[in-house]
Amino acid sequence: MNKALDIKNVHLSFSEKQVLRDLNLSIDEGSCHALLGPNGAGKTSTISIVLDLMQADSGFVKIFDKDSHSVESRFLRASTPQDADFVDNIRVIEILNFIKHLYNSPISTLEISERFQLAKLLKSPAQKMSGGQKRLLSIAAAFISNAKLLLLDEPTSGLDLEAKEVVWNEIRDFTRDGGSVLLTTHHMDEAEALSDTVSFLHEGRRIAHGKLEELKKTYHHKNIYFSCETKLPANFQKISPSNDSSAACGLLKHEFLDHLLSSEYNPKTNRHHFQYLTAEPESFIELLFKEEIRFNDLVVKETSLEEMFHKIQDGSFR
Amino acid sequence: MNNAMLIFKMKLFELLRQPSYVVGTMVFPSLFFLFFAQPNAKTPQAANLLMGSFAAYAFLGIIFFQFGVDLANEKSRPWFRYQKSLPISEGSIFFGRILAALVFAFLTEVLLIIVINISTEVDISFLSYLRLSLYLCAASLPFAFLAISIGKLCTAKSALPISNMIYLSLSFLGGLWIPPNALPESIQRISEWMPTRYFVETAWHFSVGFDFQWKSLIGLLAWGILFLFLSLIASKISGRKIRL
Repeated sequence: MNKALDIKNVHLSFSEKQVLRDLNLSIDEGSCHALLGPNGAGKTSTISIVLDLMQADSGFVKIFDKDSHSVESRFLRASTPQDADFVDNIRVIEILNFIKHLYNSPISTLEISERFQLAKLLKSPAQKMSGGQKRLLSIAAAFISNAKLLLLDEPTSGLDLEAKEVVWNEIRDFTRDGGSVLLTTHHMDEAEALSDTVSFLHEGRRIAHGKLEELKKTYHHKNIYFSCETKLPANFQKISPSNDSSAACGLLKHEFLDHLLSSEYNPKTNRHHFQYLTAEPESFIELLFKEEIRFNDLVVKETSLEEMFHKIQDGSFR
Repeated sequence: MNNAMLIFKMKLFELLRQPSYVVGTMVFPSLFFLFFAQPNAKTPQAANLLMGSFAAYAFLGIIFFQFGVDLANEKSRPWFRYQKSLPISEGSIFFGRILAALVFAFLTEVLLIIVINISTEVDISFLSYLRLSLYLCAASLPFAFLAISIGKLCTAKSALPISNMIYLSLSFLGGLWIPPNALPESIQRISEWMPTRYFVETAWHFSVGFDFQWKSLIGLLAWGILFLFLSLIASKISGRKIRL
């Protein structure tokens, strides 16, 4: 499979601050890769380096085997700016036409404006449109190029549900037709819905990456929610000192305590509510049964990508 | 070249759709002439000299503000950062912008010509006006490089006062407001070496009919090379990590 994007050993620093540390990332042609991470993780810096807007201290970036500094590579990729800001007094149609004329085989302005719900706004000054409309225009500006690689920096932030659906469908259609996408997002649902592979960035370092399914298998943890009466085994007392139980049972092994995400005591119901994250929910529940711990409201849920990220980030996965 | 024309069109649309900018930019040199120079334009030759000086001043102002101040302001605008990511060369962006600036400067000069023709006994042929305009278009280029250096190195807030300081000093020292022989003697000695002095001397050749001096053209060229070099250093400094 051809690589649409290949980032190798990229370092970036500003003064003392390390922005990217030994970043390696590649995207296969026809796939969508989501770059996830909190603010300041290095997502936008990565895109800026690919777009040749920033100079890395070391390492290299190739776009379809062409050096990212080369003129040819510029025709192979298009991007959407993180901030949807446009030049003053310029109409939507003029912006789309301007970008269209820079590329070799662009999509027609009319077609793209219809696809992105901009047909009725073509003559409007772009800077006077709503935030959502500006965002749609910035995404349309990337798609009109018909470039083979799209770099979409938080493309759906500020969009309503309907517009978000339009963008998601466009991205899906684009990758289905062989296009490649590097997507940065804070929204884990977006990454789950669109991407084939993901990378988690934390403080400029890639802390986990791979196909979504494989990552889910690797971090095959589930959330367990349940509530108990106040009379609890001793181990729980560590969690909830307000518990008046003196009958320390020592039933739950200590390792389960390591997987505790939250505990809350509800004085109205006189019950404790627990949330655990574990790779072995069955053994956990078996133990509850075996030791006759009276629990209620048991719910077992798949770990979301967001929880997965946070747990990888703070090293909670074991 | 096509891409330069795209930039030119965008810039022209952007500027022409701001009436306050259009009026302010185009009217200022004419007003400045009426307030400070017109009373001294008592003879046709004096009017011709001031025509050359103020036309040079108009071109200088527009070049300084469109490259120095605008460039510094644009650095913080996401659109201009985005534009750098597009398949368009720095050269096309530069030529597109300079073309737009020159169109504005030319329109400003046309207004100035009208005002001077109405308010003085200026006596310049149509052909001389044309030559003067073409000369100013070409000879403004060195100042565009100087303005780019300011735009690249200054922040949005500092670019305006710095541009004003340099532009006004150069205008005064070069004899664009007051003829050089009316300047204090010490200033006259400095004036001879100023890029604006070299710039305006050839303008006077077209507006007054003074002898053409190669020294002026070579002097301007030398300053132009220096300013080009300065703009390249400024680009390198500002683009060390981030392309601006």
